[in-house]
Amino acid sequence: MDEKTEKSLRRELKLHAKALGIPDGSAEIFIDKTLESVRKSLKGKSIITSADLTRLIVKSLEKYNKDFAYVYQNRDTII
Amino acid sequence: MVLILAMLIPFFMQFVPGVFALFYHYSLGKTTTQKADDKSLSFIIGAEFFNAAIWLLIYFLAFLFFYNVPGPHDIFFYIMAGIFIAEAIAVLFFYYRKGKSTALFIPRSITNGIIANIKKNKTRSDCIVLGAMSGLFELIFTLPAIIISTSILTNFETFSSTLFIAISIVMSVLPLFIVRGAFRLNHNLAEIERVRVKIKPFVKFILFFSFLFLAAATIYLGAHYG
Repeated sequence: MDEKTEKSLRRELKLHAKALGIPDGSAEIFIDKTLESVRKSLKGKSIITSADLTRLIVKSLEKYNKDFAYVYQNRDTII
Repeated sequence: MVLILAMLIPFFMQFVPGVFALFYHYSLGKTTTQKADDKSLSFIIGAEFFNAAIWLLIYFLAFLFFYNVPGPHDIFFYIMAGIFIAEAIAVLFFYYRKGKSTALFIPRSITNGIIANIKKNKTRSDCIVLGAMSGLFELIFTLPAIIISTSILTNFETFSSTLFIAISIVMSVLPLFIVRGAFRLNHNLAEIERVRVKIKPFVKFILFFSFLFLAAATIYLGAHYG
């Protein structure tokens, strides 16, 4: 995962966290830990699809906040 | 009964409330609660304007049709009945996409465009346009119901038909006020979305039988008053 992708992911996750009313401090911790686990899972992989990336993020977010994971997973299928 | 069903169909349609819920969610993520509330009102005003414009335009066209085109008009009612049957089938098989989400029949390229618009909107006029625009995509289901009810209303007194149209316009944006109320009561998009997924079979059932009933009623109207 390159720096640009990580930056845009972090921005999007922050937006969802704020909208869900998750306090800034907790959101920051959830996002950091999630991105760290995604980075670990991606180590050594040269090709990754956006669906894989979403699945990894959702899997990690589910440990911290179910609503956060649910919204991120369904963000494109609400309409 | 036909008039009440025609009023209820836009109430149960899921696209505009879905767009609105997503819109409110992104607004909350980008701005303060107060600003998100203001923006949501602009969205509702846009949706209201669009509905009012459609109802009044169709009412006017119905007047022109029934007073200028000599009868019998039974063929018009039979065509409308055919459309309602097609819509009943479409609701059952195509309205919702498969899966545990509330994704609808609208092509993904269009919904992706709308989501991009939701993310980018900044000014009040953007929100008004978004509200008005989202109603456009549901017209395929709501327009026939509006056409048949305005056709019936042309036989009513001006006061009662105007009152009915006013109530219908308000009814069509009522789901948006419900979603707004849910957000204001501190419910989030995940909770709202879970409820929308849960009521999917109920919405399908209501819409299917509403369209079937409208088809039967329209055939009856064509045979007796056409």
